[in-house]
Amino acid sequence: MAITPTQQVLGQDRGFARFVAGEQVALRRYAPALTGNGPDADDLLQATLVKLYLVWDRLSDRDHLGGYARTTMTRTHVSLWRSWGRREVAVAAVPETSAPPTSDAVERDLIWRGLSRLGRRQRAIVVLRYYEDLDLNTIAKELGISVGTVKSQLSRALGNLRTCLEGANRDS
Amino acid sequence: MTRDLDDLIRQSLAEHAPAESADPTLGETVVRKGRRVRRTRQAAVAAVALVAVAAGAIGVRTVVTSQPTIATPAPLGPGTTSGPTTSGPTTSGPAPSASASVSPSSTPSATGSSTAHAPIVKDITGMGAENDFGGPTSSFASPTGNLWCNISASGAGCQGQKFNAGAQATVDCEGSRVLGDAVVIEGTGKATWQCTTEIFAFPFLDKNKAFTTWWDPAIGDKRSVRTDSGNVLATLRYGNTLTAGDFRCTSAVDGVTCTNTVSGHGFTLSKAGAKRF
Repeated sequence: MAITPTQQVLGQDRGFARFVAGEQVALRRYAPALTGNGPDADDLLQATLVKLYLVWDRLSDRDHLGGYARTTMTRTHVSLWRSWGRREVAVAAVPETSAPPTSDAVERDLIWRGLSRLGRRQRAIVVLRYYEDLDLNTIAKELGISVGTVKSQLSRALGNLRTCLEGANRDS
Repeated sequence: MTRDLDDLIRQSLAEHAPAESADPTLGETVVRKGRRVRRTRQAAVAAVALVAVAAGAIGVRTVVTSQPTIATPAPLGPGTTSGPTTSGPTTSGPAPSASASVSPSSTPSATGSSTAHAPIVKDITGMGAENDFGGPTSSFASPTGNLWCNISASGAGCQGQKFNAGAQATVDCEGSRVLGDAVVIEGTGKATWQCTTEIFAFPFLDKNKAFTTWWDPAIGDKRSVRTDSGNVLATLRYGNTLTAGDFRCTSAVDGVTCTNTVSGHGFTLSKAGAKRF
């Protein structure tokens, strides 16, 4: 018996739902690393999954969907168009003089705050390098930019983060 | 530095990752939203087609200058990672001003315009809705409704509402070139393609009106459409120009042209294709 278009769509939707069930834990952990806060991460996760849903029936290589989803999420987050039309989520200002970094926890907190001061692309590069443990070539491909740009952006990002820590040390 | 920076970053990111959790309804929620987006696209495309048919029926002749077609690379599969160059947002921008100035232009950009109106240039720096791209953003539509655009003091961009806008297929928009193809200039950089699957410009006078405070009958017209986002488009009449900071967008019969007046970079986008310079 021939499959009707409706049955085909329902079958695709079921396949997509299975994909979401299998991948959402990893994506749920990756999204906040990019956005720095929960509400934006939830928004980014949904936007990413909707994009995938819209092209689902055209995706042929189902073995690499996890990586494809991460790439889509990263690019969606960095995309200029995603920024437009949306209001900034208020983020508490990073104090110029913060508590003395007397413990690892304080330093990790300073790093987290420092990440919130980075631009989206710089932060994405840091996350891909240190959270996803990707090499520079892979990061460049993931973001669709040159390796040189990845190097320079990562260097600036690390410089900014280092400044955050040193500033706190000076003030302590 | 008391600890190695690399380790600190790794630990900080791991520490702030949420506990593993799953939402059993997420797949269903996304499918519902995806279906709605698909319906919105189909409605928008149908509306554009109706407008074209209506224009033909009343004898309106639109001359579209042919633009160089951007080469479309072979479709990319999942896991393939080459794609568009993306740009990070900037945060600079001039201080918002509360009022806009309107002036006739002695240097019209009304290339191909068939209207008898004197070209108007309106400075809308500081107008529009606040967003996280570094300043207020305004949205407008081309008179045909084919193009929806954003302009702010940080950049400008247009999104084709028809599949033949000439966008390159990329990882992000592979196989999904019905809507969401966009050309953007940001800062002093060259124009780049941005591929999305969502509508990011809001050129509506009935909903999301904060993006269309620039509109008045002297410079634009209204056009009815049916979308989830709004039903009355704020169009920029042929020959007229909006400026915000260094950015300038002009509506003409042969497309919308947006440029950074300092760098000279920009684009012309029409349903026939795109030209970036």
